[in-house]
Amino acid sequence: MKKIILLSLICFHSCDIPYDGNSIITINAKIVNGNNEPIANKEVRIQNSYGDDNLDSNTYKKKSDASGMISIKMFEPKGSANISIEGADDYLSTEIWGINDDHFTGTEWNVGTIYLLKANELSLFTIQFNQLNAHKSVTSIQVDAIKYQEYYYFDSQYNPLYGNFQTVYQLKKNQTFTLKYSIFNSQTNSTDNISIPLSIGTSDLNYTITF
Amino acid sequence: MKMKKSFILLFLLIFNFVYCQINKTEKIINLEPSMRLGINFPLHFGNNMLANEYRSSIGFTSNFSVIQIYKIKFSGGYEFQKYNENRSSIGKFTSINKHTYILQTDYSIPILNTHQLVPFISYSATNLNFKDGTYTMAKQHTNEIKIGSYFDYQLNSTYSLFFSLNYCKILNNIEASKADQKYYGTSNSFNFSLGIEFN
Repeated sequence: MKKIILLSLICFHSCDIPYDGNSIITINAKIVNGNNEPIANKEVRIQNSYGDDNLDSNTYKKKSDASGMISIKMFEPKGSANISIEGADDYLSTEIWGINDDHFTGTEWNVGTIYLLKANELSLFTIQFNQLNAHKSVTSIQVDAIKYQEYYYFDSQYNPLYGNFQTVYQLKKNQTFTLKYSIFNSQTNSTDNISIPLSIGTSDLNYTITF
Repeated sequence: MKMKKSFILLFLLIFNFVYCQINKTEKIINLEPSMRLGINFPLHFGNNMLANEYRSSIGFTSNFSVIQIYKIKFSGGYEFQKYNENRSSIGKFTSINKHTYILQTDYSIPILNTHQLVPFISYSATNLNFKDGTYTMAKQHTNEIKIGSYFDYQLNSTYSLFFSLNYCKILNNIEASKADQKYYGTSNSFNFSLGIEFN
C-alpha cells in the first residue's frame, strides 16, 4: 500500500501539465544582427519550465522569415518560459527569460528586437568604482547599448549570471551608448541619477565612477 | 402511535401507486437499467483545428441509463476518442485524447416489433488532452452538444444492436483572438456509432 501511495505521489508530482490549453497567445519578435539587419532562417525555441525539474523545449520552435520576424502561436505557458536561440553561423547563443503573464497581457506577446552578435564584433566594457565619500554608494547601473548577454530577463535586461549589479558588459564595437547610474547619499537621503554618453571602438573600454 | 399511523399511511400510498401502475400496465417511472457499449467514429468538417489538422480514429462510446419517465430516458455516458496529429499549427503534439462525460435524454419510438428509433440530445463536458508521446502537454476543457438518433434492432429481451448517427458541436470558450477562438475552440462533426445495448 505504501508503494502504491508513493507511486501515486510521484505520478502527481511529475505529471504537471506545462501549457494551458484554454489560452492561446502569439509570441512576436524580430531577429537582427549588430547592424540592425534582419537575420532570416534563424531557429527560435520556446523553453518552458514546469514541475520541479522539467523543461520542455521541443513543442514550440520556428524559423525567422526573410524580414527576421518570428511569430509563434502557442498555448500559454503555465510556468515561466524563455526564448532560446542556439549559436550558429558564428552568432552567439542567447536566452531571454521572463516570458510569462507577469510581463504580458492579452493574446499578442511582443518581445521586440533581439540582437544576435558574433564574438569578433564585441568589445569589453568594464565599470570600476572609486569611492571618496563613505556616505555615498552606487545603487543601480544601466547600459543602454547594443550588447550581448547570454541570458537576460525580458523586462529588466537583468542578467542572472551577474546579479543585480552588472559591471562587465560585452558591447558591439564602434557604437555610442549611454551609461546610467544612481548614487545614493545616506547623509542627505537623496539619490542622484547620472547619465553619461560614451563611445566604444574596437578595443576594450574601462570607465571609473567616482563618488 | 404516531409513528405507526405514518407507516400505515405510507404503505397505503405506495400500495395505491403500485396498484395504479399495474392497472395502467405502463409504469410512469421505470427504474430498469440499460447500457449501451459501442465504437464511435467522428467525421469533423468545417474550417477548424480538428477537421484540418488531426485524423480521427475509432473511439469508444458508452451510455448508462437508470431511469425512464414515461418514455423519456435519462442517462450518463463516457466516450473516448483519439486524434492523431497530421500537421498541427499549435505546437508539436503527436495526438489528442478526448474524454467526454455525457448527460443525455432520449425518447423511444417503436417502428416494428424488433426495431425502434431513439432520438436523443446530450450535453457533455469534454477534456482535450494534447499529448507528446505519453506526456500530456496541454489540457483544454470544452463542452459539446449532440443531437441524433439510435436505430435499435432487438435481438431478444436482453440484447439489441444499435447504430447511431448524430451531429456534434464543440463549444469552447478559450482565451484567444476571435479568429483563433473559432478555429481552435469550435468544431462540428457527424458521429457514427455501432454497438450493443443491454436491457
